Amino acid sequence: MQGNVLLFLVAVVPMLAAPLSYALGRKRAMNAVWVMVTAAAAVMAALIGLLVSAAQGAAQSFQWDGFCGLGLSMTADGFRALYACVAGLMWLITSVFSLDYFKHEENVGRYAFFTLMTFGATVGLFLSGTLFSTFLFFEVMSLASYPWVAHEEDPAAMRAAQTYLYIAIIGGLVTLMGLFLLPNGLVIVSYGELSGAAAAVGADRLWLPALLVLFGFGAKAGSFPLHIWLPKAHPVAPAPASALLSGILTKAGVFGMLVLTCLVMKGSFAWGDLIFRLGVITMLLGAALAILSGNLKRTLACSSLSQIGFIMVGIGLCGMLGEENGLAAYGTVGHMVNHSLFKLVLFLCAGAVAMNTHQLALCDVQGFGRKKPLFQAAFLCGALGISGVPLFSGYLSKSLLHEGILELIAHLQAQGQSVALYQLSEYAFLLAGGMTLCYMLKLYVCLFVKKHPTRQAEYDGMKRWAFPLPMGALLWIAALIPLIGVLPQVLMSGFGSLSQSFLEAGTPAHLPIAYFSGENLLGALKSIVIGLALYGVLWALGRRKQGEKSKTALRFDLEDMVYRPVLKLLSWVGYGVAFVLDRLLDWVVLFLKGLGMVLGRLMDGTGDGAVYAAQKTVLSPRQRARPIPVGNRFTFALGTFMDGFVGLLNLSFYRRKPIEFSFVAAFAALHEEVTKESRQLTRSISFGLLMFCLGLFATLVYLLY
Amino acid sequence: MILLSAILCPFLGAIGLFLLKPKSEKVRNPYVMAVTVLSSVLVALSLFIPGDHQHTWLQVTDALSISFRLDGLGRVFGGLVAFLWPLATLYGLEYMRHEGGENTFFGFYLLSYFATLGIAFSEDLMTLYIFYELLTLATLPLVMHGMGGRNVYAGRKYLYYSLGGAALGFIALVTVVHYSGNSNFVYGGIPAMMTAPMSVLLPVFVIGFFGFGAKAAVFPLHGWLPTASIAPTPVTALLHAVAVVKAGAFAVIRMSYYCFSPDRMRGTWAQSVCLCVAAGTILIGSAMAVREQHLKRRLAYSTMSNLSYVLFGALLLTPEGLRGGLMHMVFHALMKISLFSCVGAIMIQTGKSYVADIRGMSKRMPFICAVFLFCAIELVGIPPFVGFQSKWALATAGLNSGSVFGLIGMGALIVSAVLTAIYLLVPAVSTYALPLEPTAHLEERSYDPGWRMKVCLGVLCVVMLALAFFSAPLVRFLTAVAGGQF
Repeated sequence: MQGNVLLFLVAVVPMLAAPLSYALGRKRAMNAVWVMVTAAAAVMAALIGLLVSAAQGAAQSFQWDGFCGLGLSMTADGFRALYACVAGLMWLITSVFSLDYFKHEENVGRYAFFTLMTFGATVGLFLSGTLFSTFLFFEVMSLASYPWVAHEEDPAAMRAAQTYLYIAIIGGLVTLMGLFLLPNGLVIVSYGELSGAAAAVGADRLWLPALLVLFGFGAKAGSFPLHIWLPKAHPVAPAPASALLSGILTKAGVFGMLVLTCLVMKGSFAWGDLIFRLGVITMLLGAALAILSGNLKRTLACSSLSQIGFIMVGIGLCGMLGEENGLAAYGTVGHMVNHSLFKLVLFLCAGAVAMNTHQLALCDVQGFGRKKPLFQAAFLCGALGISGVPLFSGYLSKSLLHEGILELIAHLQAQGQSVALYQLSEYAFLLAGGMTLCYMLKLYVCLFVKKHPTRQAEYDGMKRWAFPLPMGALLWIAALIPLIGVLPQVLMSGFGSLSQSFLEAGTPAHLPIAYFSGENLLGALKSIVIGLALYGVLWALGRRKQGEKSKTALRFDLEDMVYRPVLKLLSWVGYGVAFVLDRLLDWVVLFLKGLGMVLGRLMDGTGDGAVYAAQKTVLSPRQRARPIPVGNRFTFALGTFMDGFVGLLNLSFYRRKPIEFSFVAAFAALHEEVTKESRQLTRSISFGLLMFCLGLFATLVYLLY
Repeated sequence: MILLSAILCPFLGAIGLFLLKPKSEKVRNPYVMAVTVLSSVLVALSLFIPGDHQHTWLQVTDALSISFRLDGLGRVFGGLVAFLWPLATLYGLEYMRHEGGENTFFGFYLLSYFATLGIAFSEDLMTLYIFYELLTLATLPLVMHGMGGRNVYAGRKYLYYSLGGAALGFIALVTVVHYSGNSNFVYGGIPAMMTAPMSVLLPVFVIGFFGFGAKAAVFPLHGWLPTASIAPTPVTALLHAVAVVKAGAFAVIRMSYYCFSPDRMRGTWAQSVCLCVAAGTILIGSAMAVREQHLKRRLAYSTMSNLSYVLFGALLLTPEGLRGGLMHMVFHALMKISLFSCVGAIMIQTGKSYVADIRGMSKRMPFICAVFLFCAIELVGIPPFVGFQSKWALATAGLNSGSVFGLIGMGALIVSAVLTAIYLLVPAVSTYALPLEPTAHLEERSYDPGWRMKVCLGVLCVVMLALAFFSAPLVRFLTAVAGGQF
């Protein structure tokens, strides 16, 4: 162990606190949550120290050689310290919120245990210094977060948890496969030297390993086509856990993508293009799902998909723009931080709704937010931020990303390449921004404008929708969103410049960045107009079909229609083959046993058989001919044959009136008669002949003499 | 001399037990424990007292003898066995109360210990072969214990497969003796065999692999292992997850690294065949385990798969591969003996033996289910636990071997890891995540077993947890052994 042990401690202390929280939680459930709050606060303080030190240019690092075979390495440079801080902040706020949320929940000790485990792993992941270390923390994080999804223990949660577990394990192992295949020990090269080492290997040999590694990280981030688990798993978890799943655990996947794009595959246009395209699809798909969803938390989960798509677009741009990727990198990091904050605020708002009403379907919670100004303020900060309205933080990062796309188009045009696809992507980007506004408007109208048909008075009465401390934490964090929005040069650019060295990104051409330039404002305006128009259209459509249950929900579920059947088929085929092979020797033995028995009997009987055959043939005593009972041989044979024939007839056609006639006897009688008569005849002719001959003789004698 | 006394101690103890036939537990338990611990202490002493403790016990012919010597590989296997045997005996003392016939059982249990130590410390292939056959005979009554129809069937199948395998191994033995004279083990291959013609060596290598591999449940000679899981749990846990099956793997390693020259065998068709068979066994075992509903049979299939990890590593015929194989040999022993012990505890305490029956069991057996889940996580290979470390070592060794079969084996490892998660982690999680079956008919009380089983499992878990973080010295030692030092 060498270096600053503090880095290791921030990852390990929560894990050590986990059993403590469980033990304390057995007596009084809230003790477990207090342990969470304390641990998160302590870690947060240490992380801020690390961030300050990193911002001053003294990045701390830690090494534990030989840990788990290849050694553990952690570094807190600008980006990593920043994101570890974001993680610490998220855990701190959600833990404080849990003080209220888990008042009436069960299994709080278990929740606290796994939350702290995940916390340690996530902080460790964001501070990790090699792909191997990242992977270690990634696996622990993936599995330790499983009990969040399964927390409610109802069928929907169990199914979502099952999918989550499978994706976590399969994703983890595919990533592991990719790490195995990385040549030249790139797995244990520290991130600072990774791009150089990777360049020495050459991008061609890295494509396959990088794709495999991307599989696991992409699945965790919720990238298309591995997004299936996300809209199911995030809503079923308790609200604080949903906020963490959406806000920070997806970022762990994004972190992996950043490493792959900016370090391992640095300079590969095709790789950036791949991430970019996946990002565009994810962005549109998530937004469409969010618009169609009828559940508060599910809408937010689908919105996470969409926002991850935005971030992936940024990552793709970082890869494609080469040296001029400064703006894209600033935008990517900015949007990561922003999205974490948005989802923290919005999911905690959803948590407040859930813990007061115990409902999440939009038709059940409508009107909950009326007459709750603080709640409305918090929700609005998150909603306006994520929709990209100017003066809120989302506008800044989205503008940067938008500018990145424009820059790419200009770049390609200068090289004389076709830009139609990227032009379309730009429209898709604006459209997705509009869709974001559309679904947030849907939620806003539902919570704050509509009235609940039956429970409105009850909802209006819930003035104390949260305890003061959690409420304060929520409002404080919500206030950060407009704060970043109005102080872009300090905060937004600060995030970017902190991250520049880790991402090995170029410096933006025009510093300070003109966040509020006419072009950017126009882009935001376009998105807002699109969003309002879209909402108007949907509202009109919805009015026409009022009363009807929404049938627009997408029936096509990739998980149920593709992944599960394919896996089932594979498992059956695999099992069939394995079963045959497993029993092969048994069957062979059985067959050989049978064959041996038959052959043995055969061999054993050969001598006896020969003797028997000889007895029957060569050595058999000569049979004496039986005397024919009646008639001669010929009539007996013919008669027997005919009698046999008659017997057949009697058995078949003449069953009723059998022919009682013996041919043997008849032939014998005939033979007898013929013999007798012929004898008589023969006798008479011979007599006549004799006389005739005598007469002739006498005549002859007379003539001669 | 100390080595010989360590080997003979359980043998004499077994004879004593057969003669004494103690009627009461109060006599038997301390006696059995004392003999086992004494043997293990003697083994430990001989491991730590420097020197190779060479001892010729019996001169058979001018060249052939029954003789013992301590070298690196023997240290690994002997040490592993000596560590686990007292724990498993402690477990067995509690378990066998439910099965009866303890005198016979522990008599043969000690005899098996004797035979296993003989295998671990044998100096030449001849001695190894003799103790190998002895092990078959000593464990047969353990498999047939209870003498029910299925026990006898399992015993017969075990006997056929083991003797059939040993017959193939005998061919290898004869060839080695023919070319080398005395068949004494030398790392890197017996020098006298370097001149033997490849046309003879290669087929004999494959035959010997299948022969000695039969005990390590290598396809297609694996059928006995799932059937033999009918035996009492101390047998399945210690013998069919550690001693017997690892003796098979140990014999294969002895044959391929210490008799045949790994350098000459590397890259030949014989190696390819063996690697393919090992990779295939990994997949077949895991795939069968996924559908198997009986817990012990499921674990038996898993053992079959994991034993082939060891064989795969060894048959890469590189020091790195052998290192991975040895790591997995040690780590898998710890994990699998714990898993079997958990399942055995569930079986005797609640009478449940099928996967569907243990849902929600954590509410009734919190200790056992916690250990079960922990071991399942280890076996799947979740970092940073030991299962991950050995799999990483094996996979990188496969990759670095440069052979295409190394890559195939690496793929098999990954697929098998996914399958392991399905057949082991999912049921382990289901003991927590799912509610107790209403038809389980279990009372509202803790069904956790007595202190003996808990001590056994607790020690194993602590060791595994410690190894997760501080495995470096052990791994260094195994690396040195695989490199031919000691």
